[in-house]
Amino acid sequence: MLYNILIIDDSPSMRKVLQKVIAMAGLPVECFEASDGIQGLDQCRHHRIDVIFTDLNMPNMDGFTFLKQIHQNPAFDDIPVLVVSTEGRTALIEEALKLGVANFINKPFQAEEIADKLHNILGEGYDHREDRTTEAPDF
Amino acid sequence: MITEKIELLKRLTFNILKEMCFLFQSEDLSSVQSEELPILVRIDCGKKYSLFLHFDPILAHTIARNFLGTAQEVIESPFLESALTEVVNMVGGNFMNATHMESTAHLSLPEIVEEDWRVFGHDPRTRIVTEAIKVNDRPLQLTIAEHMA
Repeated sequence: MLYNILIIDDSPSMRKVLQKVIAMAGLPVECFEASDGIQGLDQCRHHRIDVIFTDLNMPNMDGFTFLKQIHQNPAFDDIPVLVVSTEGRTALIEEALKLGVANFINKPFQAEEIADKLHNILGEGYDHREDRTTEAPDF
Repeated sequence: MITEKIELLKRLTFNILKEMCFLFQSEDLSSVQSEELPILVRIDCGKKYSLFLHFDPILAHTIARNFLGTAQEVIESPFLESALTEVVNMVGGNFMNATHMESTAHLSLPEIVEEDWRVFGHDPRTRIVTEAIKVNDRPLQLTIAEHMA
C-alpha cells in the first residue's frame, strides 16, 4: 500500500529534489505536488494525503496560511506536516509549532534527515489514511 | 558593519553550494572571464538588505545539474532558473537568520533580474559592498545593498 506524500514548494527544482530524497527513504510512496498553499489544499481535497512537506515562503498562499487552513479543518488537522524552510527565527518557528507542525527541516538539508523523519512518522503503528472513514469535505 | 556582512554572505553561500550542490570554494583567486552574460538573481531580506548573486553561466548549469542530481550537461528552463533562485532563497533565508532580523521582516521571493545594485542609483542611504568569489573555478559575484533608515 502506497503512502501519499504531498510536496508544496513554489520551486519546481526543490519539488524534484524532495521527490528524489523521499524516494531514497525506501518507503512505498506516491508523491503529489503543489506550488503554493492553494494548490496544496486542493491536493488534500482530492487525495488522501499521509504526510505533507511544505515550504513557508510562497506566493499566492504562503505556508503559514496553509498551516492555519489545515489546522482548522478536522478532516486534515491530523496529517503530519513537515516544514522544509530556511526560516530559523524562534518566534516564527513557535508560531508554526502552535499550528501543529510535526517537525522542521532547515534548508540546506541532508537527504538522511528527511529519510529519518519520514520513517519516524510512517513507522510501525502508523494508521494509514486510506483505512480511516473520514471523508474529505468540499471547500 | 557591512564588511562583516559580506564575509557572512560568502560563508553562507559556500556552505549552501557545498551542502546542496557539492561545489567548493576555489583557492585560485585569479580572475576568469565569462563569455556569456551572467545570470543575476536578487532577493530582499526585509527592508534593510538586498542581495544580488551574479552567476557565471557555466557555474549556473553546474549548480543546477548538481542540485537536481542529473547528468544532463545543459539544464533547460524552468529548472535552471528554479535551481538558482532556490539557492538564492536559501542564501537569503540563512542570511536573515544569521543577522537576527526581527520576525516581522519579510524575505522576498528570489527573482532573476536585469538590473543589479545600480538600480538604487546614487541613493546616499544605500551602501553597497560587492565581492567576487570563485566556485569550482568559475566566478560568482556577491553584492549586498544595505538600506539605511
